[in-house]
Amino acid sequence: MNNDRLIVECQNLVKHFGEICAVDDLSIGLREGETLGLLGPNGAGKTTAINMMIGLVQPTEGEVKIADGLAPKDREARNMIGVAPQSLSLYEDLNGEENLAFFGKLYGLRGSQLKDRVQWALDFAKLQDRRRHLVKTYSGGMKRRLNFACSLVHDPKIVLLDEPTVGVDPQSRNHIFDGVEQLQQNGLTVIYTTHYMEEAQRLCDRVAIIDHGKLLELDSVDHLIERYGGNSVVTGELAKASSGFELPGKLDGLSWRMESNEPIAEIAKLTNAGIDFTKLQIAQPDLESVFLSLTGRSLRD
Amino acid sequence: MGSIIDIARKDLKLLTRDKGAMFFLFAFPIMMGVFFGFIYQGMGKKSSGGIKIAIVDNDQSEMSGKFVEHLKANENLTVVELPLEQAKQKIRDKDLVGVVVVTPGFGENAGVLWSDQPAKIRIGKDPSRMAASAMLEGYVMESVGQLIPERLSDVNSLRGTIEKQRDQIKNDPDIPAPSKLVLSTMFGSMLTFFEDLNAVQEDQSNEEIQENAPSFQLAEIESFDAFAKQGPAVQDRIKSGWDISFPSAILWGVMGCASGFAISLVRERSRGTLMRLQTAPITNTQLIAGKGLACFTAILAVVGFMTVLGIALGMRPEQPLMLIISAMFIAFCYVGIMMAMSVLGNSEEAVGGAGWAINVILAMFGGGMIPLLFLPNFMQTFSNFSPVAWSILSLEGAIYRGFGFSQFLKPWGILAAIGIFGFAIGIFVLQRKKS
Repeated sequence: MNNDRLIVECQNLVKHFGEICAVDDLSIGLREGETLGLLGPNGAGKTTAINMMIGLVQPTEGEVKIADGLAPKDREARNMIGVAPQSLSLYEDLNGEENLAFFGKLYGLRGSQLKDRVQWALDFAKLQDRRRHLVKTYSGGMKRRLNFACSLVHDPKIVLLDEPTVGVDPQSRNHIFDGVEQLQQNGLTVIYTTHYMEEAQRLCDRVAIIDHGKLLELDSVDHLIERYGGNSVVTGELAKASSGFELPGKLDGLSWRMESNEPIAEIAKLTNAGIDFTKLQIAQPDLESVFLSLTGRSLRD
Repeated sequence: MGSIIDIARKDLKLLTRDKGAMFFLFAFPIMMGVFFGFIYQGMGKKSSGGIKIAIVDNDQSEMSGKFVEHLKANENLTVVELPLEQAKQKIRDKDLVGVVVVTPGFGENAGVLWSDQPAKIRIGKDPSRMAASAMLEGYVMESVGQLIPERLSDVNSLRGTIEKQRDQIKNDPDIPAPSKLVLSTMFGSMLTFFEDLNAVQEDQSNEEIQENAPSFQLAEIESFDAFAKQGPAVQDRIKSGWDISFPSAILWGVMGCASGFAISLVRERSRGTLMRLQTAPITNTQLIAGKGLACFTAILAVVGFMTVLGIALGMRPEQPLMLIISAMFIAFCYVGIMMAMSVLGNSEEAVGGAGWAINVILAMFGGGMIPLLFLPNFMQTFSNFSPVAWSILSLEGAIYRGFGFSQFLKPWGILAAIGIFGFAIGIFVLQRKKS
C-alpha cells in the first residue's frame, strides 16, 4: 500500500441532466487505502458523482482516472472496483450463494477460486446458515449485508458503498460498520456516501462535503470540525444562585449556557471557585455543525 | 463467451422459479393446443363429421330422399332431420350451422337438365358463420348434381318428364311453329333413344347394368396443395387436428417466452441488478447476448416440449429436420422481438402490458387465434406483416405442407429479417437510454 498514490482521481467533473446541474466542477483525489466519505443531503449529487467514478454515467465535462490513468470503463479498472448500490441489487429468486457465485463469475472467477471467494463472502455477510435460502425470504438487514458482500466477492481494490445503512436495523448497521473496518484493516480503498454524520465521523479518514453538486470542503473529520465546527456548547443547572462570582456565558435563573473551545478547563475553573451544578452537559461540535456552518442549514433539512 | 453463458444460465434459473412465467410458457400453450386440436379434429384425414346442419324434407319424393342420402353421405357434413322450427332454434343456439329445406315439387325437377323450373331448395343460415354457410351451399349443389345421373338411369321417370315437356311446348302459343317442330323432333328422338336403352338393359343382369351404367358428373374436383411441388394434397397430409392446432399453440408458448424475457430486462433495471451488470467487466453486447441466449434457449425448449406433446397426441411432422431449423429461425425472430419489446417502457407493467398487446395483435392478424382461412380478406393481407403467420407457415411446412427446401427460404428469411430489425431497435434504444 502506498498512501501517496492516488487510486481514484476525479478532475473537474461536471454533469448536467438537461437544465439541472447535478455535479458542478468536482475534483477529488482518493489515496490508496483510505476511506473517503461523501457527505451531503439527499439530492446533493453524491450518487451521480459515484456513478461517474464507476463509468455508469458519462461526465459532461472532466474525467475520472482509476489507478494509473485507467478509464472507469476499462476492463482492468472494473475488475478493481466493487460497487454496493444504494438500492438492493440482488436476484430475489436466487439464493444467497447463487447470487454471489453469479456476480463472481461475471468477474472471471471460476472453480476453486470462485468457491473460496463465495465462502469468504458468506462468512463476511454472516449468512452461512442461510446461504441456500432464496433472497426473497431474507430480512432487510440480511439483504443489505448480502448486497455489500456481492460487491466484494471478486476481491476488489476499491469499494464504493452508496448509503449502505439505509433502512437497516441497528444490529445489521453495526455489522456493516464492522465490515467496513475489516476492509480498512485489509488495506482496501473505500468510498462511502452517507447523510448520517456519525457514520462518516466513525469510519472515514477524510470527508468531502457536497451540496448542490459542489464540493464545499474536503479534509479529515478533526480538521473540518476544528475549522468549521465552532466551540463546544456547555449547558448546566446551578445548585443555587451564585453570589459575587461572575459566570461566563449566559445565565437565566439557574439555567446556564456557555460556548468555549476548552470546555473542560472552563468547568474545572468554575467548580474550583465553589460553583455547584446539579446538571451539566457538554455538546462538542460535529460534522452536523460543520455542515451547518458551511451551508447555513442542517444536513437533515 | 463465458459471461454470456453465465447470464443465460442465471436467467433460465430465474425463469424456472417464476410460476407465472412457467404457466404462460408451458401450461397456456398446452391448453391452446389441446383446445384447438379438438376443434380441428374434423379437418384430419380420418375425421368424420364437420359442419352440422339440419334437413327438412317437405317433398318426400323418391328424388328428395336420394338428395338427403347424398347429403348424409358427405363426410364434411353432419346431417340431422328435424322440423323447421326446431332446426331454427338450434341454429340460434349455435348448435347447427344451417338448415336445408327441400320444397314441395323438388322431386319433379331435380336432376332434369332441360327443365324450365329448377328444383327449389331453401337454406337457412347463421349470419355470424358465413364462411361455413358458403361451404354448405357448395355441398348442397354437389348433392343436387349427383341427382343428374340418377335421373338419367331411370328411363320410366325420364319418359314421363320428356312427354310432359313435349306437350308443354306443343301447347305453348308463344313458341313459333318452326321451333315447335324442331323441339318435338328432338324430344321424339330422345324418347326413342331411352326406350332402346331400356330394352338393352332388360336383357342384362343388374350387376352388368351397374358396371356399365353411364356416369354423370358436373365436374370432377380434385384438391391439390398449391404450396407443395409434389406429393398428395394438404388435406391428405394432415394426420390429425393436432397437426393444425399445435403450430399455433407452439407460437403462444414462443410469445410467452418473448414477453417474459422482455420484462426480465426491465426488471434488471428496476431491481438495480442492471447496475451491477453494467459495472462488471462485461460489454453491453455480452449482456444483451446473454439475455438473447436465454430467450433463444427457452423458446427452443418450449417448441421441443410442445412438439413432443403434439407427437404423443397424434401430430406427425413429415420433416423433423426442417421443423428443428424452423424452430431456430422462429426463436431468433422472437429474440429480436423480445429486444424491441423490452425497450417499450421503463417499468415492468408498461413492458408487460405493451408486450402482450403487441403479441395479441400479431397473433390475431397472423392466424395464431383463428386460422387465416377464416379471416376477412383485409386481415389476411395484414398477416403478411405478422411474424406469427410466417412462423406458423414454416412449422406447417415441416409438419404437413410438404415444403421443399426452397419454399422454406421465404418464411425463414422474413423471420430472420424481423429478428435482426428487433435486435437493432433494442440495442439502439438501450444505448440511448444508458447515455
